[in-house]
Amino acid sequence: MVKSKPTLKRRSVRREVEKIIAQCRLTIKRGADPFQIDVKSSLGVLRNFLKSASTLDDICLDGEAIYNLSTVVESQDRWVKFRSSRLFVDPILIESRIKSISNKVLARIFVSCWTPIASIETLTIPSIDLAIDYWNRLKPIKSRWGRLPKGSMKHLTLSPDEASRLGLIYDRRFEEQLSSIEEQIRKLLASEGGRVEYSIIVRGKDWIEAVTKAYLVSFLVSSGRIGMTYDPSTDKFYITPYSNYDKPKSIAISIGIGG
Amino acid sequence: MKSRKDIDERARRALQLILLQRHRKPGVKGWELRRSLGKNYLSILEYLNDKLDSYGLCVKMVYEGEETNPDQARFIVTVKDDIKMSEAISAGWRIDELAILAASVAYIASRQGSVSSRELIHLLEAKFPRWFVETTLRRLIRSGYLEQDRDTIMIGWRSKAEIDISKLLELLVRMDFEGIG
Repeated sequence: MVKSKPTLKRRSVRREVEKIIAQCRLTIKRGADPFQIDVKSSLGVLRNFLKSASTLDDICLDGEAIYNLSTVVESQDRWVKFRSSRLFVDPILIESRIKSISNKVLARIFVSCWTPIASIETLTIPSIDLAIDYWNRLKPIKSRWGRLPKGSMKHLTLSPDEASRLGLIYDRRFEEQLSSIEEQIRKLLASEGGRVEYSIIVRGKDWIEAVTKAYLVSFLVSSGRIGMTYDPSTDKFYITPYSNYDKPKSIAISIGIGG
Repeated sequence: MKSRKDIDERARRALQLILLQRHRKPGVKGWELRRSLGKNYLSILEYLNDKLDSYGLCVKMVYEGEETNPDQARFIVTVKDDIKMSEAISAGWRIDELAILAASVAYIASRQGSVSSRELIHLLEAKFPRWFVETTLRRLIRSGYLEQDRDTIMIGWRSKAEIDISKLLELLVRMDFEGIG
């Protein structure tokens, strides 16, 4: 009981940091008032969190929170500049005006502020010359298509088993394989403390098995069923539980013979 | 020192380049004008602008992104003064489409230049059926009046070039519609 107390406290601070990140992201995404976020108190929370930070994940989370808070400060700067500019009008007022006036009046207002672009869409003599030249050089359609081998349009038939073997249709076994490897990974994650080296998971009897496992793992990671991180200190990739804060990105990992 | 005839010839070539639409987007990039008119193309355009003034047209330079180099800007010729509603209709615009463009630009401008597409569609749905709103918005995005980045809609380069946005907001707020159009 004595040992679990600081962990619980750290967890609650971590949750608070995650909440700060989510709030910042939502404010920026919605274009809402950035002054709704209390940057000063958020920095206080981060200071406390950093004191108790013990893992690389904590430090990354802290960095992410700082980054999101800095985007909020940047947005606050823009907000002040915009509000003091000539363009500032209350959006609610504009919304009510748009809803209250007729379409015809709205179009009339618009036309009085509109200076459309002048342009000409026309054929020129050189472009007509070019078109005639192209037409004269163009071979008849029969001679252009005649190079295709005879019988190329013949219909072929495939049984479901053959199509499955060729990878042309969805194979039900694929989902079973996915579930099986997912279960193995979850067991390993539980026993190894939430992080397992990628190469351990994809290791197989031979190269084909390693590639198959790597393909299944990539499918699980892409679909958000598990997560993946890179640790620069060890220069290795690790499989982790999925986190909402993972930024989606594409990575290429080479697999040697034997995984 | 270039002769008057040479400057006139270059101005004529510049006008042809700007007016003749070669791609989907009207106008021409600064680097294309530089290639055809030489490094002093900006002064040629100033001369052309003075000439066009008497015909109610003007040359505008529009930046499509964050760049500030005129070579990357798009040069277009626009009408100098306001047009009449009948002229807009004869150019192929429907009143409903103009109303949607006006409402979208005004609403986005009042929200610091970007809104979520869901919010904008919700606003426009108060007056138009959803299918018409979506079709018109797609057309406006295609023609450069609006820009879309995932689920965010912003004011496009063409609106910045063609519309006096501060005047549009001012007229909407003042509700002073006498003598318009």
